Amino acid sequence: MSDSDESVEAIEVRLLLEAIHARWGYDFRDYAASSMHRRVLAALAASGLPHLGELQHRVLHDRAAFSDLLDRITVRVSEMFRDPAFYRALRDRVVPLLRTYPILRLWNAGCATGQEAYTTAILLIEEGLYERSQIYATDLSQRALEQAKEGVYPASDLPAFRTNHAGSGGTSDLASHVTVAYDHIAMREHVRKNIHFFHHDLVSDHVFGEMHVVFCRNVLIYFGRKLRGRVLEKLAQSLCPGGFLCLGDSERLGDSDVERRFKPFVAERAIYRYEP
Amino acid sequence: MRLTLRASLIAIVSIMAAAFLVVIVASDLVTSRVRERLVEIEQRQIPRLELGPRIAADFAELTRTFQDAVAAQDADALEQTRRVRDRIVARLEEGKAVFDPAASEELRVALDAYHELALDVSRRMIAGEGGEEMIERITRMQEAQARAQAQIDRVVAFDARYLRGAFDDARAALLAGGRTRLVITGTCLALVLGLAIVFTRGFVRSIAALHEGFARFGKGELDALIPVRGNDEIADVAAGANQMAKNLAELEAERERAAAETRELLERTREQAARLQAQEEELRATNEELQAQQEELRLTNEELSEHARQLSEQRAELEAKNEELRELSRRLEQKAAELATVSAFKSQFLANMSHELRTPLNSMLLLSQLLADNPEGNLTPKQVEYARTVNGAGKDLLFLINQVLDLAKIEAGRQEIHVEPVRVEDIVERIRRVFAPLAAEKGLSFDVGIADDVPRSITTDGQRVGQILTNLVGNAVKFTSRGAVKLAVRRPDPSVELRTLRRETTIAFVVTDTGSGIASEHRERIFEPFEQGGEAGNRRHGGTGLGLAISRELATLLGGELRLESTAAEGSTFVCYLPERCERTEKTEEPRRAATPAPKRAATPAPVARDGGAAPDDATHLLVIEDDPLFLEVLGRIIGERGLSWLAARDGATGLRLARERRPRGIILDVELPDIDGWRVMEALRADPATASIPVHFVSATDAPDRGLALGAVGYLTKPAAKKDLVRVVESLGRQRAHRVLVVESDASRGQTLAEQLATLEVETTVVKSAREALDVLEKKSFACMIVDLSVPDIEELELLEILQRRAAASQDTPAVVLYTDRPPSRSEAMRFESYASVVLDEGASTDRLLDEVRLFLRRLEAGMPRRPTPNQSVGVRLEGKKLLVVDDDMRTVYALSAALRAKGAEVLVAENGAVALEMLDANPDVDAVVMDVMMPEMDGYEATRRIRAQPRFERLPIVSLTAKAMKGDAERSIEAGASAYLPKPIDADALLSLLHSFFTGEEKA
Ligand SMILES: C[S@@+](CC[C@H](N)C(=O)[O-])C[C@H]1O[C@@H](n2cnc3c(N)ncnc32)[C@H](O)[C@@H]1O
Repeated sequence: MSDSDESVEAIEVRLLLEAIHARWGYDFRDYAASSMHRRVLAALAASGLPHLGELQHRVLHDRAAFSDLLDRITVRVSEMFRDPAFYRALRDRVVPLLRTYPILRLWNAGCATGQEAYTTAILLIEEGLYERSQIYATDLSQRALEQAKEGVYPASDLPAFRTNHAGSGGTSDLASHVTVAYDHIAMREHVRKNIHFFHHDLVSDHVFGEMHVVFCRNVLIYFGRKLRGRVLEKLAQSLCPGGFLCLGDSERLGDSDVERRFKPFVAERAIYRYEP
Repeated sequence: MRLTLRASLIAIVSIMAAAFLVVIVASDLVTSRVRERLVEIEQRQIPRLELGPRIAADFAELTRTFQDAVAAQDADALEQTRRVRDRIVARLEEGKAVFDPAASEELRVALDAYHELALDVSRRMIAGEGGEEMIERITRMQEAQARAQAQIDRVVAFDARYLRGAFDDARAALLAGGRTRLVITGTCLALVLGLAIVFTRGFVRSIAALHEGFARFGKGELDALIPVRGNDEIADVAAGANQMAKNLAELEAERERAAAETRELLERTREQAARLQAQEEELRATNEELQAQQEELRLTNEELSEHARQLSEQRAELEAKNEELRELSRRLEQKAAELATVSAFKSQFLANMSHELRTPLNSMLLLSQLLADNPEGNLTPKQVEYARTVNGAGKDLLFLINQVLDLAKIEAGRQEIHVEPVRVEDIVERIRRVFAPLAAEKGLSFDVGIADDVPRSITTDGQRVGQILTNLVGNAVKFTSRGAVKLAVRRPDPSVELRTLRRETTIAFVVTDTGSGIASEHRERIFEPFEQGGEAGNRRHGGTGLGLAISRELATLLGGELRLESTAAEGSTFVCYLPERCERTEKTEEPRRAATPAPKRAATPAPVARDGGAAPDDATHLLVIEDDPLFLEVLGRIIGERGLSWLAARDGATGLRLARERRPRGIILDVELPDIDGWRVMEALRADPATASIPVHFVSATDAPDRGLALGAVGYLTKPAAKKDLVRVVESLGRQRAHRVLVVESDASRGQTLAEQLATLEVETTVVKSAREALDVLEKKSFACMIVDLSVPDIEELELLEILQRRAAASQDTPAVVLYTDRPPSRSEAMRFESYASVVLDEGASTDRLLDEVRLFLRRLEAGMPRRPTPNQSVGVRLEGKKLLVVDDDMRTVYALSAALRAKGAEVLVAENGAVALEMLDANPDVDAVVMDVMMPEMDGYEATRRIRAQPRFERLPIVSLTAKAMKGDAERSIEAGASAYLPKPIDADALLSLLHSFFTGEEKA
């Protein structure tokens, strides 16, 4: 889009993001523009405010309004054992190598409401590796994190959970990992115990540890190219040589300099290995 | 007024109480009447029943007493009677109430009368009176007695009728009382019952109504209201219930509405969700597609621009090619002509050689040999020498002929050379012997000389050198008609720039003549086959025209070069530069180059070598950044002697560029340099990832080894330096380090297997059996990587690791350590190991990962990536005697920090999370400072900091908080939690060191 035909709305969105960055430190400026545009407009509609100018005013002055907006502009869909084939590949191809590490650190970047982290935990339990594992699950959205920490999901998720789990080659009885009560399922303590949830912004915050596996699934798709490269750089920095990067099912790495440092390990499942 | 339930109940109860009271009072009344009767009976009749007999008895006693007294004639005893009488009177008095008063009065009178009479009679009888009168008296007395007796009987007579009457009375009273009571009780009961019934009926009915109502409500019939009767509490309840029901009904309706709304909302949400989902999917798809499209577009763009670029390039190229083609065709024509000549010459020449020259030459050789042998001894020594000369020349000629015959071979690059040590003198002597006579014959002087600094013997192919010199001197003699021909062997002139050779190891064979010289326009072509110094004009001198071409190729073949350094009309100087030691490796390469006739090469000026000595392209071993040429020369010799190639840079900028481009194994660096000084060069080297891991050794007249080492140099040598020290520096830097792997494995077969597997990575593997051996080996050689089996018995692994880490802190020259074990270490053990090395768990299946680890590591080394950050600037920081606690779950940070801190002399404790840190602090309250990561599992840094601060003994303990968080407010959170300072991750060791330093110095001052 050239400057000349940037719509007024687009300008407003840009200004809003600029304002958010200046006021709250969250930086959405380099997110994929069209997606961000849609998200902001959706947030505007939900807020009931007449126009973006008003929204911007609110967001600048009112923390709660900002939180709401933040809530709206992040997309937090997730699911237990989402993409069973991926977990199958993880189990069959990656886990044997993970066994050779006496301590495992796994980072779930953009964990949303936590399902992915719990999925990983269950898988590691099934593979007998959980005792030596530490899962770091981070997200930008505080609200998503709250939910993630609770580890309680509607019981209506259960059927999909079951089929996905079976599809991933899961062997254990799910009932031993979750408590089904009322119309909710809750993750049991032995699943939760080695997961550490905390707030972390992939855009602004730094790398915090050397990981053996980094899951960053369905997060990079919201980022613009440049940002994607920057974030991938961080992910690379936080992987030990030979560590694994797992992307979403529809995501693939290209051939920029950073991207080339990841070698396809299970290419069709977007599992890469960091070989600097 | 409202009749409340309470009031009703109170009323009923009080009425009942009143009725009860009435009943009680009534029955009491009745009873008291009966009692009265009975009391009367008791009081009247019973005493009468008692007193009567007593009075009768007393009277009898009275009578008896009289009789006794009379009988006893005892008058005194009569007094007794009075007492008895008084007793009777007393009894009468006593019974006054019960006796009929009149009767009792009469009795008394009668008694008194009797007593009087009896007393009188008795006295008289005692006195003995008798007579009528007496009898009369007695009769009167007896009458009185009878009267009294009668009176007594009357008085005491028990009135049974009366008694019966009294009892009847009482019974009647009782009966009447009973009846009255019954009536009253009955009435009361009836009253109470009636009242109760009246009340309860209403009550029960209300309750029933309530009950029913509730039941109905319960069933959900909220509109069927409970009838409200009366004005009591139940009515209230009913009213309340009705109200409630009404509310409920409303609520229900509300709920119904809400539910409906919710349902609808849900429905809509679901729809929306579905739509969203769809949209999302679509979006994702579109996104991906877009992405892909973008990618494609980008690709196409790139391709397009690439195409465009290529096109224009191609056009340019085409143009150039055309040009070249034209040039080429021109040249080709020329060449074709030449070739024609050449082949003509060649074939003719070959023919001549083979048939006509060989035969006479052959006999000439034989004969001259015979002559030189001087079998008859009749030749003078001079003659013998001549004969030898003839023979030698013949041999050379034959040799030359053979060479020519082998020309094809030379040009095809199949020429062989035989390198061996030869004495320079021998070569020169042969030439002298051949040409001295020739020169003498032409009247020329012929001098040969060998300079003093030329080694006696060199390693090369003596025959070829002879051939070259024969040619050169031959030409010189040939083309010189006056003056002198000189052959000098010496070192190259300093002014000469050599292309590939190093001056110090090069020998120049200089052939000078005073001939016609060679015109500059011919100089290019002089070395081409079948060319001679002066075109046809020179043809008369005869010769093959091959000499210079062959000589040049031969010189190249021997690793040297042949140059013409002369000007026309002043004679020519040909110089053949040859290395002292002809490198065999070049043999295989050079022939191919030799095969390509490279006419232009002679003219191409040698590249301006800013480097003091040039090295073969890609194998630069050492880089010397040094501006003193003399010292460079010395160093160069030392390096060269060790078979190492090297480059020199005269200034810092060049040094940096060469280091980046060539990535030498090591760098020798001076401090005083013309442009940027050595310190800054060092910093720049460390800052650039491409050069950061290259070991640097300072050799400088500036005496500041501390500074150098602090900057990360592997060593520091002050000038003037002894040769042996320089040798040591060169050797240590020049060692091949990237590909040596040390395996510490006590199980021989396992070690063997590992070594074999490592061989596939093209590394040189050394296997030792124990940690002690390992340390020994490490002293002698340097290794890139070290694989340690954790079950090696003889030394505590950690101790080995600690030694290594301490060494690593001091220099870069320490291998990366990979530990492997088939026994899973405990978590804390593993954490500890990880702060020193990478650990591989060998669970039977894969040594793959082990190899991977080594492979990846070596690759990183080759890519010039530093193994870990080294603190650069914190030169003055000293942490000796300080005890520091590093709290972080990221072992990489722990590794880097603890190495940096230990390097500064601190004792470092490590904790993997806040909880452990608190325990450690408890056990080590003497810790001087804490470096605390914020984001950790179990207990995070904020919490841990807060808890530490909560203990008064740690109130002033410096705590440096590390965090990856960079958002607004994150720093404040650390400080709020009680941290003394805050540093962002990735951690800059220098910043941390200086921060700690400032804490401690501040502390000392305080
Ligand atoms: C679609 S969810 C992915 C959930 C999960 N990884 C999965 O694949 O099921 C994307 C998540 O990325 C998070 N996110 C977006 N931008 C982020 C950032 N800059 N740093 C960290 N998380 C971010 C959002 O909050 C959201 O929870």
